[in-house]
Amino acid sequence: MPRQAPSALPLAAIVVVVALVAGSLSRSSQLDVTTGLVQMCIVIGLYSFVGVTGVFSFGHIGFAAVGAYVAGVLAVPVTQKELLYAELPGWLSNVELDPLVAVLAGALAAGVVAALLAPAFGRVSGLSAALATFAMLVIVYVIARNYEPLTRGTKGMLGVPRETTLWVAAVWAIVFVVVVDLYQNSRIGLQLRAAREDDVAAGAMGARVGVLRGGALILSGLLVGLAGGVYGQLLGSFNPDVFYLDLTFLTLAMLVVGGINSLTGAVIGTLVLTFLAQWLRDLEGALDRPGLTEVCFAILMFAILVLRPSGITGGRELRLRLPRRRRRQETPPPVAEVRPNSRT
Amino acid sequence: MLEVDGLTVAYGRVEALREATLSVGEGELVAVVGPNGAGKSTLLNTVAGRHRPRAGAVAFDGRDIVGAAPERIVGFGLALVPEGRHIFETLSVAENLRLGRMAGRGRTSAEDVRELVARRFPVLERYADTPAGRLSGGEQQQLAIARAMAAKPRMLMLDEPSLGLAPLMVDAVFELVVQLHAEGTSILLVEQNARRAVSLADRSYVLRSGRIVREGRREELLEDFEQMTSAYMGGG
Amino acid sequence: MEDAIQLLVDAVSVGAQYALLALGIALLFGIMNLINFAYGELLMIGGYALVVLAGMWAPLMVLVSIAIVVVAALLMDRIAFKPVRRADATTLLVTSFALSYLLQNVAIMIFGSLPETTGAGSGLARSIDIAGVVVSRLDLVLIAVAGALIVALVLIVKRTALGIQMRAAAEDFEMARLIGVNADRIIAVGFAMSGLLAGVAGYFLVAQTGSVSPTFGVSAVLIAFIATIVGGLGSLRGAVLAGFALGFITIAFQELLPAGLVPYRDAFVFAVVLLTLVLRPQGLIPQTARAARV
Repeated sequence: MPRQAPSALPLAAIVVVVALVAGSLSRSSQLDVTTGLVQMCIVIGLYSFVGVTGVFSFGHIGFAAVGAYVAGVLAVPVTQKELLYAELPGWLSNVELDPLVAVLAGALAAGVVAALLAPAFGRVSGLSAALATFAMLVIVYVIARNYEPLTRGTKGMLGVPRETTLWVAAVWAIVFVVVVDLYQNSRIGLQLRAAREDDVAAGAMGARVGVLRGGALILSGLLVGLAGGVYGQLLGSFNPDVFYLDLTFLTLAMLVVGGINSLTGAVIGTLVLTFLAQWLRDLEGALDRPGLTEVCFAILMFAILVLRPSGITGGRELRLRLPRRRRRQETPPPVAEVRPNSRT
Repeated sequence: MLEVDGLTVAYGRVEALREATLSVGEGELVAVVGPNGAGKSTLLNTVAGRHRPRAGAVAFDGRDIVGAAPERIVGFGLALVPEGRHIFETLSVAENLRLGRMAGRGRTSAEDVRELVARRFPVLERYADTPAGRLSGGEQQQLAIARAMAAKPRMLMLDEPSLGLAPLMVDAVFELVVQLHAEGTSILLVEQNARRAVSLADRSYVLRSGRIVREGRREELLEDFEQMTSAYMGGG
Repeated sequence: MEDAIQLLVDAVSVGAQYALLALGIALLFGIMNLINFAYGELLMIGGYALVVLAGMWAPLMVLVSIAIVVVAALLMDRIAFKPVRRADATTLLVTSFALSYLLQNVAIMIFGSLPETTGAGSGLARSIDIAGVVVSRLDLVLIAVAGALIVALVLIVKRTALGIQMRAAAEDFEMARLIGVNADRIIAVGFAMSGLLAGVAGYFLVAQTGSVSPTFGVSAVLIAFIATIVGGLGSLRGAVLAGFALGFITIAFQELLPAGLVPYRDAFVFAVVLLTLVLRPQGLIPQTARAARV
């Protein structure tokens, strides 16, 4: 793969513009955009695994849950802990970290979980991997629901400091864009993407693909865990259902709609669905038909899967300045005209 | 019986077959030979309905079959035995044959198939209830052909039937092709084993890099076989 | 002794329910590599059908609800899966996930997100006393119906022309088409059977819980996943055996596990699933020779 101009710059600029515009909007719209930017972080984290390795994941919201719970519990003020988290183990009940440090600790915890799973995901790909990630999501969910001393179970986390403002979210989104863009254009990122596109390349790399894939899982676990912590500090209170199937669907829809094989796709997909949601929620309210937004998202996602599997961006990246000749990334044809495995 | 006219097939941007034109007459045995990657399998697979061509026409019995589903084409009486046999390994030999008979939509009875096997595929008789995956390579190839013949097709397309078989088995398979031809089945045979295929066939086509570069009757082709060999050995 | 028999009946009944669920998933995976998340929504559709049909003569109501589920399954095939049929298994999985989410939210739009109660199946709620052992009629009917369905399905798959076509399609779909198996038809048959199983399983689920909600099918489909994966993807025999094994394990855990650990049962089970997928993708149930798929 040729060296490519970074797409981080234009994407970061888009984030800044979105944040500037949102800053002038009403309080509730601002909150929606903030939520959208945090979700963008999750989607970018998801992209750093799914997009780069080509292995599908239903499980990354589990990492977000780990990040959110760990960051949350570490940042809840000690005074509130006595009241709300009476059953917390002694050493934890006296801890009150700075919210930012707590978020980083949450990311680390999610990274550790990912590291435990990494050897497993290095071994499998395709359908088995996708199903295994789903199993992982269920495991995290079940633990979050039942380990009440720490998570308060279905009663939900309370008292998490609300630190995530519009600009905090925007800064994180920019950090994510830059980190993942550097990563996907690094030697490792390029190797993984080559292996994704081409089985022969994957074969030539042999067992190394597995190791790299495991590494990609750890990095994406860290990122999504971090985003989860930031999300928790936006919500202030949340229960295990926040980090389960709904968010899994939403983030997958964002990635698929934008284009699963490009960072630009992750960013664009999130923005498109966030703005659509604004409009659809109003319609939903006017018609008094809850569920309408989700139905429309599902239909949109389905339409993309059928008509344009490479998403809005078609797998291409947005670039600021193109070095000499435009080198477009090949995108897989929607439905190959012929089956490649039956050539002469 | 089979008329292929200007058939072009592409995988993405790569054209695997370019404006191929050929025909197979009633009761004729026609071979298509050429090196690996010349587009031979693409030709058969496209005629059988597995690929949609970019351009060109395919008519079987005067009926346009481009774009028809594979299961419809076999229903018309045009059967393909694909490369690599693809017998159903988890099904018994009898079940494989029964499937083949179903493709004929009542053209053949169970009795017909039993008789066909007894006459042409006697090795298969004692394996009726054996999972087909346990057969040897040569037996599997025979089963694949028998399965196609169980529907009594009007025309049979064979894709590299000798591939990967022991020399003795290769002989048996070619012998089988000759017999089926002698009984009146039209056959389109694709082979890498060019000299052998050409010497069996009434007529042959030479395919190179997706184009038909030579066509002729058995005598003509065998006569200048040396030149033909160099023509296609040079390609590839 | 009576207790033991009662537990056994419980275990067999739960197992039969799980086996039905798992079969519905395994069947379609065998034929077209589809793991159908939206299978749970077929159960849900059956449940809401029972709500809407309330008041009808009970046996007819059950039959109509099952018919509705079968039709829904066929529509699912035509509208949602046909356009992506040639895509890889992961795309199919994502599509079914989107479809599942879509149908849940359509249910929310129509019925709201709160559960609807229904008296369907209340006729089976009474218990009967057989020689001192008290068992519910529901359990007995469930065991009988599930048993009959499973046997019928096995006979169809093993003996009939349709069954041979299904097994051929499961082994090599492209080749099956070349030998005249009609792709649309065989997949439709798979969806219809899957719908039949979902209709029946959905009825029993409603009879047990007495209510339906938009997420009614989610936990059931998770159980079906476990059984299909542990049983070996696509193996019908494996799915049935794993379904029963899961039923027994569920009851055993309920009786034996310390109360504090019971909530983590699902986490443990899914950990087993995850490890199975990674270490033994062919499933935990040993397969006979090569002739075990479908």
